[in-house]
Amino acid sequence: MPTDNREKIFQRWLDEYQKLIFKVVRTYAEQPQDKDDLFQEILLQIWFSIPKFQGDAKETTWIYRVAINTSLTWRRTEKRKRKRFRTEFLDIQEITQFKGAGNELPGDQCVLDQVHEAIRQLPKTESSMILLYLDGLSYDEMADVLGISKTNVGTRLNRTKKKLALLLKGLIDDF
Amino acid sequence: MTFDELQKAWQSQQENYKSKIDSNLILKEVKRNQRHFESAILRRDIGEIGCAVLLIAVSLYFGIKDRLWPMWLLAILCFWVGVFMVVDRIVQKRRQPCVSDSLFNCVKSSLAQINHQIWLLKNVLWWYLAPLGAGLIIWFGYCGISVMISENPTGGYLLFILACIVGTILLYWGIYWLNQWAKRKELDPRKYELEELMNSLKNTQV
Repeated sequence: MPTDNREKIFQRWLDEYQKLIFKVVRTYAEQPQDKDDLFQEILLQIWFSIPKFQGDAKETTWIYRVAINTSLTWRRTEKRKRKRFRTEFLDIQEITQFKGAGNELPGDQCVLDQVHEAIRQLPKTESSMILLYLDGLSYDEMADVLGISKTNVGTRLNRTKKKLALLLKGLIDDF
Repeated sequence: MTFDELQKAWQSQQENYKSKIDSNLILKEVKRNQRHFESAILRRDIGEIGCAVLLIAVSLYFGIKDRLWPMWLLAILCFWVGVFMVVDRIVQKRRQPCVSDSLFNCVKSSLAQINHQIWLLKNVLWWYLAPLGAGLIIWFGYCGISVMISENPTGGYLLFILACIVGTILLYWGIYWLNQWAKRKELDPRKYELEELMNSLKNTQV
């Protein structure tokens, strides 16, 4: 793949999917330093993965695969071995004021913080599954990212939702 | 709150991040990071292969110059270790886990890779320490016997050779211990972690 093409794809993906990546990062890393390291590791893996991208998979599925695989196989001990970017390039901040889809939902930020906390307590594969579900991926797409069958996604997701509802007792009334 | 409502709230949180990212600068940094990573790998490979080549060259030089068979043996053993390392590196490079693959396949290949690293450390005695150590000890022993059968055997020289043999054994024991410690401290926990991940994915396969 020509370098120019690779650079263009990387920059477009970075512009379009940086928030998706950060959501994955927030699910798997809690401390600011860890978030920063994981974010950088995912960007690097995305850069390495571009020449392999043939367009067979949807771009979002591809980004989710790279982000989730990197997060689940990422180790804190490894991160120190690699020279990192300068942090000022990666200044991602969470705005404290929550903006819903057109309407203000007071207290939702607090709810989402609790949800993130609860997801972090789930086993890693289940946290990936719930992350994909909450982001609105179809069963087919989830099966594609995780490498399991569509039927199993349904069965497992139901169990995971029950677990999450238990962890968020009082917040979720579905179960 | 129902799960549908939670899903909506979750999806709207994308608006909730303000990022100050300059994609041009990020790109430069990613490329710099890639260069740094590749040069580190290259330095490591050159270092390891360079050491083996140097040892082979020195052993061959003295083996040919002074017609010493233990030096020939040492060169052959160094060559074996070097070839083993290079072949293993090439084979493992082809089996690298692919992060753009599905989670199941990525975990599977990561587990295979970690199992191979554990195997290498567990058997470091047989493919690395024993051949090189045996070559060196045979060389020291040869020198010792040559001194003893010479017309004027010197006690000091014999003592020096004995110290070399003991030093080599201690050094190699230290290297072996360090490798097993690294296996226990780094690789075993990683293996259990990946196995757990793999099992949780396998349990979903009805």
